[in-house]
Amino acid sequence: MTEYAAQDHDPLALESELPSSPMTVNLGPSHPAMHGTVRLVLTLDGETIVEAVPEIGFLHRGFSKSSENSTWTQVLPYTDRLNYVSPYLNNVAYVMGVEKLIGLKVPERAEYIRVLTGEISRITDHLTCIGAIGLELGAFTVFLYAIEARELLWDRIAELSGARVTVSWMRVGGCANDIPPGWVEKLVECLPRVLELTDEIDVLLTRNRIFVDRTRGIGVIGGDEAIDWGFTGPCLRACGVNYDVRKAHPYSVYDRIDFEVPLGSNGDTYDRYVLRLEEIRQSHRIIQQCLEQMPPGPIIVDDWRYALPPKKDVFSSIEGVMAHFKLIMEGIQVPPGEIYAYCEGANGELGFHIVSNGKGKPYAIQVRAPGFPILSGLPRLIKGHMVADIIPIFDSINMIGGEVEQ
Amino acid sequence: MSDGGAPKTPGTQPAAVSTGGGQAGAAAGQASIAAPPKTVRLEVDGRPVEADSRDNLIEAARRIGVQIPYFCYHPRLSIAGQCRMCLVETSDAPGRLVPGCQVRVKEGLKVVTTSPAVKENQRGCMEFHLVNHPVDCAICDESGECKLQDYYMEYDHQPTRIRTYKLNKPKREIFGPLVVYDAERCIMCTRCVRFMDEIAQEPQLAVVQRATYSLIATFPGQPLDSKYSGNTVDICPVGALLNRDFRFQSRVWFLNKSPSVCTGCANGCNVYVESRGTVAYRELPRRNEEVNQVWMCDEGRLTHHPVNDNRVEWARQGRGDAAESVGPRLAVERAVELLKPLAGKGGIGIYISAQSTMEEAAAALLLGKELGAERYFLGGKPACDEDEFLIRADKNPNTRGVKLAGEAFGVRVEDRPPEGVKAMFAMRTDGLSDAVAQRLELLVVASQNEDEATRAADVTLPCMAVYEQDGTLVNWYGRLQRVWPSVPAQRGDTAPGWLWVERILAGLGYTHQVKSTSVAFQLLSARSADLAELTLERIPEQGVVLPRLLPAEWPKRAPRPSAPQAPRGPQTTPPGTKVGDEASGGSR
Amino acid sequence: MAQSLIDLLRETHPDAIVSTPGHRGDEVVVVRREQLVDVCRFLKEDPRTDLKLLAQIAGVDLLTYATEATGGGALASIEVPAYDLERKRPVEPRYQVAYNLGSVVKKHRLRLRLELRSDDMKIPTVTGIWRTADWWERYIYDMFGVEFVGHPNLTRIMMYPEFQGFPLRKDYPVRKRQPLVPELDFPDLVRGPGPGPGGAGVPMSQTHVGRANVDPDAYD
Repeated sequence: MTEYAAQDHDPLALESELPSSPMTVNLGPSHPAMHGTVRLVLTLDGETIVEAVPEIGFLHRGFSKSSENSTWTQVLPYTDRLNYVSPYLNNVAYVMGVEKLIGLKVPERAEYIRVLTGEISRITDHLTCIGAIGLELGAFTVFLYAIEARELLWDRIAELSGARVTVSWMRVGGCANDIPPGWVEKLVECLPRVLELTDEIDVLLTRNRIFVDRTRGIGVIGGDEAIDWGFTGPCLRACGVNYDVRKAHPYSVYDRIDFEVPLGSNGDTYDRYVLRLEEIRQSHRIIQQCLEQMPPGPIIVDDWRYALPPKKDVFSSIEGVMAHFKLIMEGIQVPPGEIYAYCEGANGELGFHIVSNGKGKPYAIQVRAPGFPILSGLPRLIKGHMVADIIPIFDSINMIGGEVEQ
Repeated sequence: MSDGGAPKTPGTQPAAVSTGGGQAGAAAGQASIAAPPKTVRLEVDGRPVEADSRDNLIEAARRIGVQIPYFCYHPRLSIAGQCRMCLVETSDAPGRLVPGCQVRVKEGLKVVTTSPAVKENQRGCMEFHLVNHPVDCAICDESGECKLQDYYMEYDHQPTRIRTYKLNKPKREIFGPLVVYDAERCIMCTRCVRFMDEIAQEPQLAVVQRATYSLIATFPGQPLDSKYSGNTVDICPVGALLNRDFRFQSRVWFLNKSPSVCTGCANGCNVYVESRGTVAYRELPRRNEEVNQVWMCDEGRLTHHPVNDNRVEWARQGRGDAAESVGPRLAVERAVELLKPLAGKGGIGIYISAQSTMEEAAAALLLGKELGAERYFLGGKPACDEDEFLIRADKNPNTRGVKLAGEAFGVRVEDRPPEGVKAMFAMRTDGLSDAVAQRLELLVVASQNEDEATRAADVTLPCMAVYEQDGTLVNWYGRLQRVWPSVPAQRGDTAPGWLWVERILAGLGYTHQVKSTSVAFQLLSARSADLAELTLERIPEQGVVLPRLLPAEWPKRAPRPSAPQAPRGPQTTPPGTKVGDEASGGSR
Repeated sequence: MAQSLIDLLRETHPDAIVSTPGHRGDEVVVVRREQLVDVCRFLKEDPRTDLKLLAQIAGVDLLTYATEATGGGALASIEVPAYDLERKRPVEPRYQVAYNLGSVVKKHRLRLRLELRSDDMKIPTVTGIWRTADWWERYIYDMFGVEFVGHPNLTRIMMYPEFQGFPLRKDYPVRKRQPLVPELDFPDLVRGPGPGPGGAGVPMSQTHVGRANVDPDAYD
């Protein structure tokens, strides 16, 4: 058990002067500023943070164990619940892993749909982060703008998959359904509004004196050190390290799409914020190119060993019903092997280490959540700062409890 | 599917041949070779194989883990070559495909199972097998363990190309008391016909009609009423023959498959019990060459019903209508209260049903010793029909075991209805009649099912079925076999019989500490020379023969132990023994 | 690209490499435990390798790799008869620990793998090389019970300290329930001094209605 502060229980203790010895403060796990349920045990000297120990696990749901006891397809809903603000990206990272194990080539249209939905998710993720920073530094308007933009996109996601957050829409070999008619038009209609709101946030915050004072030079970390801590994604790029999995190891159709990777220079909270703002604009570019380039065609492989047969065949032919039955009941038979598949999640490199023993269930699966190493480096970021600085720093690393605590 | 319409008549009877050896031992065709087996070296897919000279190509390939698919071949039946699924290429006939089931190994033979021609044949075969197959998976009991499904996913996985109607054939044709036939699902492998001819030796099935219209049928006025008809369901690779008892009861993938020993008769066939929750759904034979090979009788397939139906679930006290459920603690206290004044005073009898495990018998004998019981009675179900193969007249799984336990404790276990006692403790009540029970002043029973005796008992303790508990049984020729808790979920207050005795003994103030099956087994192994050095954990999965108990005479076709007795060592299952493969009796 | 890494490693650390079982484009090097720290330091610091990013440490328990049955849906694994657990025979080396490494500059990847026997589950820590290894090693310790020798703070990370067993081991039943942990007594500081139930110094367990203490091994 952690040490608790007041050394004596004298009723007058509250009125006496503050002791000069370090004080231990327990921040969280249920605290409005601790996203998810993380606990920080802080040792304070006055208001300065001497030491911080993050404690996680309050949200641990046993992702790996559950997945090892489900068929390959049944794992998908669990991946939704890892990073619940960008579930498509989690879906994609997982199915990419399984496809890598099988050696499966996905139809081009499905690849574009994956990139498209992935970038929408990236925008919603960044908007959540930016909105929260604004909110917790007193700019409630920013939060409302961000959430409005996010809702616009989540509505599109809901029209696509039927769920705002728990989409489970990717499948091994492609996607569950094709894009419904009229959806693209709706998306094109709402994207300018999203950008407009992003610009408004930009105008409100980026040169706002209070905001800049609270974030610039706060939570600084250098590039080499950030890599040492395992930082990836916006938190690493804010330090000026040009590492984006989409560029470094182009997967899907990212090599055909023209976009830039914004970089910061100071590695502080302000840079992490600005970087996310810019990434929203880049994601918008990617979405537009996807819509232009997306070819018609199948959205899932035409191989009944991996993809469910069309319902028409299931109901009317023995071949279809057998394939359907085997895939649902015993799962896709993934060849044995061990791989590590990774893609650029909203907060960094999102990887799955998957082992198959050739049967219908993942034999072992562990997730490399981008937030996990970043949270482990949080004490490094906040040490020496004031208690009040925890909030913007913690916001800017955008820890998602679902994926960090699995 | 044109290779000979009618099944071939076998030359020999495989059941009469000792099949002690490795995988598949002696199929009918193999047993006719007079020369002693020798090792043959050949090559399968470029990998060297050392095979037995009696092996066919399927068995040779199986030795290095190469699967050659087949429907009609069965290691214990004659070769039919019906399904054409096992065609492979060999160096003897380049450019041609030969059936892997029919071609025997040869020194230096090169076998190819992965060439385009072989693959194309397998795909085509599957397509033809499915041409007239109905869209039945959703309502078919076989689905989940169907070879058509497995092979379709592995060798075909193409959409259908049939644009016409499927051929309609008879469905739901009742063949006999246990078997129902669906001709549309049938792929005419003729395994069932060959089984009835060769193993059951009651030719009750035949192929009628021709070509695509052919079906399996019984003879007019003669149902499939063999006592081994259930095995045709097991060996049917598809859902054509189904078990009427199991049909529509459960989907197979929800069932836990767990090994046990059949409690239907003294033969002690090794079985798998399949269950879900507290309910057992079916029994399937488990391979044991020295007990049941890979077969079992129809009666044995119904032995799960007493596990599910009419159970004593809650401990109670009071006779007849005055009985009330009081929970295990109070019921045991009541039993102790009733037994304590009589202890050592005489007039106490112990009744042990031969349906009990060795451990339950031992515990009951221990209780008798401590209470100073005067007489011990052997109970059980009445004897019934027997035959020369797997069915014994004694319908109890552990008669020899209870007698052995009695000898170990140095008491005479009388094989007669109880008499001459005032009070009695009954370890399971099979065969305990109402008349006997009513005469007793005090009757305490541990019973699995409700019957006359439990109605007349002063205290009734719910006993676990053999399929639900750990323990051992001794079959008719003295093979000590282990059972495991195959139906793992707890039902009501049920506990193993030995545990009830331990609770009573503890209530009486004894400290035997029979807290586990192992300890209960030690009660016997410490007293009996036959069981010396054995512990529960050291009994091999295939059981161990107690040589002193071996009978002088054997039924003509009954499987018997091979010459060297099973070693008394740690668990001795060879690594890599597969559960549920062909050799263990399943359809796969 | 990564193949050249393996060749380089063969040159510089010839006795460290056991095998290189790559799969589907992932380059894997199985290294000896004794040389793990040397190899890691080299891989991180040598400019030719520059594997500065330790992306993940993952573990695998091979206990049921060969025996585990095909899918059957999640339902099939709910009730495991005691017999099946007995049947699981020892597999050695039973555990694998994989270090997924990457370079942000050279953009290549490499996976180091250690194989561990279940009777000797000790690995030298690499926290001195990558700081991010701290939490990953705690995670592997928490899930598999692998001991990282020299780790500054090897405690459970996801599970609570009283948790019994290691959940990602294959012999840990998926539906296993853990015993209840007694509530810890500590002074209720939040309420501060004053009257009412639970002032300062009153143990928390006395200020709350405790849950009935159920004994799982009870007789009936």
